[in-house]
Amino acid sequence: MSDVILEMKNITKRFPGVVALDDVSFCVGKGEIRALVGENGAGKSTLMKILNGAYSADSGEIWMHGKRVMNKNPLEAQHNGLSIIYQEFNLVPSLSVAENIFIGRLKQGRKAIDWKDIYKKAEELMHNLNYDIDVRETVENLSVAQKQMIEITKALSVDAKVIIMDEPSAVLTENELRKLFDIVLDLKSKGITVIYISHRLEEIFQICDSVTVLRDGQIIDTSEIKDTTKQQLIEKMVGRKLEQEFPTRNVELGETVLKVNALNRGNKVKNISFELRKGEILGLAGLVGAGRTETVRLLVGADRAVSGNLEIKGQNVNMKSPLEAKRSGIVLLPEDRKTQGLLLEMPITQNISVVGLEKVKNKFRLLSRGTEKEEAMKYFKTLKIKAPSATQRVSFLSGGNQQKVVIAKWLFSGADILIFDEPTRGIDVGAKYEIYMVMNELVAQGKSIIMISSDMNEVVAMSDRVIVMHDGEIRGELEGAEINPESVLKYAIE
Amino acid sequence: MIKRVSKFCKSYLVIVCIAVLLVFMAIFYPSYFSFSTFKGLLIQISVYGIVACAMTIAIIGGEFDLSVGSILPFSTLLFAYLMPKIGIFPSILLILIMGGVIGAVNGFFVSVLKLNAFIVTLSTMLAVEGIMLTFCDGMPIPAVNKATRAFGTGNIGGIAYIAIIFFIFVLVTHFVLTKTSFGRNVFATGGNYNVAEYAGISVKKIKFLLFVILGFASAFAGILLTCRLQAGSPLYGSDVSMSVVSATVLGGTSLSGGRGSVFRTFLGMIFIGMLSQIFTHINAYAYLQQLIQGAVVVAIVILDAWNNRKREDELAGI
Amino acid sequence: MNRQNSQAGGKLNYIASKYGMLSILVLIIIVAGIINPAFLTGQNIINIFKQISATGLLAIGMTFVIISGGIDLSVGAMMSICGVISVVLIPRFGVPAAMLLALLSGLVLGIFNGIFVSATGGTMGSSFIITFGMSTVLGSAALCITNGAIAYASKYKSYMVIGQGYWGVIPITVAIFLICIVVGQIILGKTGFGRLVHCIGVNEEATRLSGIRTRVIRISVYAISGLMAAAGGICLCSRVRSASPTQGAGYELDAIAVVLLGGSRMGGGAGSIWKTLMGVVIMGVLTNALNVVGVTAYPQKIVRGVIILAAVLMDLRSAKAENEMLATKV
Repeated sequence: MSDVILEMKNITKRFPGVVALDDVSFCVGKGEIRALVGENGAGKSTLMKILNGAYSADSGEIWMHGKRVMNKNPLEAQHNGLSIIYQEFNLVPSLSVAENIFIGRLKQGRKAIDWKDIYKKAEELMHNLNYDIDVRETVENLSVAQKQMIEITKALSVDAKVIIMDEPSAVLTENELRKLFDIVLDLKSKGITVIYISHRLEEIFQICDSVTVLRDGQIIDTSEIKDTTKQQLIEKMVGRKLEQEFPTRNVELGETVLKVNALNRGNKVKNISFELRKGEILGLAGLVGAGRTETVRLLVGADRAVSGNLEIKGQNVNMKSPLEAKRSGIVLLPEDRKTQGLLLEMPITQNISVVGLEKVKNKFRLLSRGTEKEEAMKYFKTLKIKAPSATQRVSFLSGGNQQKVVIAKWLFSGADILIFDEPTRGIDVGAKYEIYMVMNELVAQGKSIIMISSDMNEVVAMSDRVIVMHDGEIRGELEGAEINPESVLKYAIE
Repeated sequence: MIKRVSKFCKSYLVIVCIAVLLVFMAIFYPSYFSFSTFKGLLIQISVYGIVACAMTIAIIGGEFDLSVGSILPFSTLLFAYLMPKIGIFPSILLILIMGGVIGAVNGFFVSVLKLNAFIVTLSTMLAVEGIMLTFCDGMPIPAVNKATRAFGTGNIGGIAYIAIIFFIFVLVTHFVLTKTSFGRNVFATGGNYNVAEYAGISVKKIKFLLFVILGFASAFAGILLTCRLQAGSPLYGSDVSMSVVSATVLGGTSLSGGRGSVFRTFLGMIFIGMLSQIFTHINAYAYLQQLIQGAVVVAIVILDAWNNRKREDELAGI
Repeated sequence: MNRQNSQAGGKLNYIASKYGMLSILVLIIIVAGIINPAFLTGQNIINIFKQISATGLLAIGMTFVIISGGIDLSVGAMMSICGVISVVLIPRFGVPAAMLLALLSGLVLGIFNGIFVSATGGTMGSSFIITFGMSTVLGSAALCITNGAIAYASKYKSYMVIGQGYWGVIPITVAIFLICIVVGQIILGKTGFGRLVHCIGVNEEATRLSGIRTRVIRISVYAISGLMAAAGGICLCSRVRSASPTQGAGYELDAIAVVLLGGSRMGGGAGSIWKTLMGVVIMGVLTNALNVVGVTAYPQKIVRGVIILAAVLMDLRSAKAENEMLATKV
């Protein structure tokens, strides 16, 4: 391999209770396109944040251009020639494209800011990338792909030698993706190193030179892309046979409980219709941004549909608000548990009882902490919640136990249709299995589940049926033996 | 065409408001339109307008200051008190320092200790008011001086000196906001604090300076007011924070920070000034004027939130 | 190696923040008692409560608002306008009806506050600016009603009962205040509504997604605040025998200060009426102590400004200390 540009030596990072990175050594060459793959929680984001200076490592060294560097903060990392493009962009929405590119560096010397010059420079940069965006436009008016281009332009304008892209393709359409590939290859020809983080292995085989697999905080393997296969990569990422990851279930499907008719809202939800049966787990697959979350938010009244209607057990349901949805037994377990699912600063008991305070009142119509605790303890048993006590604040629980509290909450409300949005995101591998067990038990008891998931294995293994969304529309429906990664992906990317 | 007009009206609500006022006066009180009313309008808005320039910078930077409401009257009293004793320029200097120091106290609590700007500036407002009232025992102090009087009431071709100073302030503020890195950093800080910090902007320093500038501007406005009214009083400028915030928000500078312009605030000041002139013209209660001003602020804030929601919906294609 | 130490330090900090207020209160009482022994007489203690009861009533409503994650800067002006209403309506409707109408006005105006705050997103920032604007509206409306003059109430004997009368040895205003404290604590601490007030203070979106009508809760909170401000206004007018359209100016700050002094958390979620009672007593004792040792009204304003700032700072510290404490527990 050519000259080494970036090297991480024996990086270790511990968080309370977990070793996020365990003696990781990592080395990339100039002009190389390196893929970094691994499951959620494998340590990719920790690794990036250490490179970037957002975290400091407990031990280990970072070397760039043969010199040891201390990236104490993102700015210093940038000075050292390292830029990261996150999924949530680092842009100021109210400012122009050009200003965002040159943010913090608008002025040279003592003279007033020369806007003409800045616009010209920004245009030149855009030209170099063969990209066509009005540099005077305000960033908030741009599409996601355009924002990504601005981030890349920004990285180039600070003379980045290494650019890390965090799941850049997750939000792009097929056309935009091709454009991105062109740009990445162009960067390579300019001698810039790209570290490409992605879940989509096909892409990696298309453009990357080499691939590093991270699992449970350790580097499992680094190899040339031509020397490996997809199957090998998956095995290295998962570290065991896939079958063991999911519990089996045998549930007889019952009558149709939910019927969704021609739901519409903006450009994220277009004419969505489907049905759900008793005892069924319906997978909702698609890329990030395909409109899955937006769709289920309409089902529980979190947002209002522009048109369309909903029938639960043959009854027309008004989806005006989450209250109506709760009363009809359809509930959402949001992806972002911490900001939407839980009252983090409150105890477990109160997180559960909030959906049915009527049920924990005493004869004077006042709240009874005793009853609250009794009710909560029931779920401690059935869901195997692990916590020192029922009055523990949920902010101190692990991701898996937090998810169980959200499940407990909705069981307490008597819900029949549970919508899980990314049920195992941010949850440890061991705890995932328990969540799957719980889901299986729920459908065995006659409840129904809609599961949004971006984890292909999860979708394939857990679903009775899969609906694939793309660009706000349903593109395909798979059942039984048709459910396999290739066909799901085919519909999802299209 | 209709769409474009409605878009313009939405983003320049204040021009529509001014037009409505003008039409109303043209129909019912044509005597309103004269050069002297125009001159009066300029004099009326100039002093508060200077504070409004500084407030615009602060609001773009995502902050807010209520303590201007006591810095301004305190500075009128101090000027009236100090001028005969130590001379005009030394007292101006001292007063500006006083304003800067109070601003620095606000800035310290907000930027370094990360306390809520509302509560911090509320407390400093109260504390400065206490100091001021203790200092003057609740009484006004006369400030009769030929030079300051000539300056405070003089004019060039009918345009008061004070109004000219206001214009200069507007232009300088505009220059600072659009052409200096400080100004752009204010926009970035108010637009997205974390991004600005990542980009290497010393966000704490920016936030700190916002309050110092406000302190200076309010103290300076107090000096001008003393020149014009030939007295210092604890009651002068009691409604400055309300007027100035109304003007800024009315002009279309969003309270959530990151966008806005001083020309918009200038238009906002014109509207507020016209409103109070018109109330005087038609002999309405002074109290009613305040009431309407408060109601306008509430209405604008609600409208602003509603507009934002609309824009989000539009982006989502609804 | 330092872990033990820092843990002990965290605990100390936690205890200090928990009982710090109580010790400050005791300290103030001791110092004032030494400087002027009259301070500790029963009569003076009753006086303290009498002086503070109007602020205290406002503070009860403010506790609801602050726990829900908002703030209400309009209560001072609300107090003025409701006080004025309660006096100017007497000739036409009689005393009881005038009082009821004043309370009703407080309730309705509070509901408007709530609707406006919800309409602008229900955040802390929006509650500040909305209630700040409403404070101007209500304050100038009060001035419009009396045309800037003071409405005298001395001739309405039955109106004066509230502010001047006693039940046994306890002044009626104090009794009203204490009853409201107890009722407020039960509502906030024991009812479903009170629980939901806490919930929206912690996370409004999560609460809404739990199928709660958060908007109704938020509006109710401001309604309670308006109602309590009206009650405070009536008590004050009745005590000073007149309704001035500017009488409430500044009371909102005192109300916020005592809530924070008591230890309820700015930004919502944590707090209680008991804590507010503690804050009220501290403020009352302090003001009284300043009076007793001869500090006049104007310098007292400076002290108050500093106290509010100190209270907010303390709030910040105690939040940190509590988090550290709980985190080390696990």
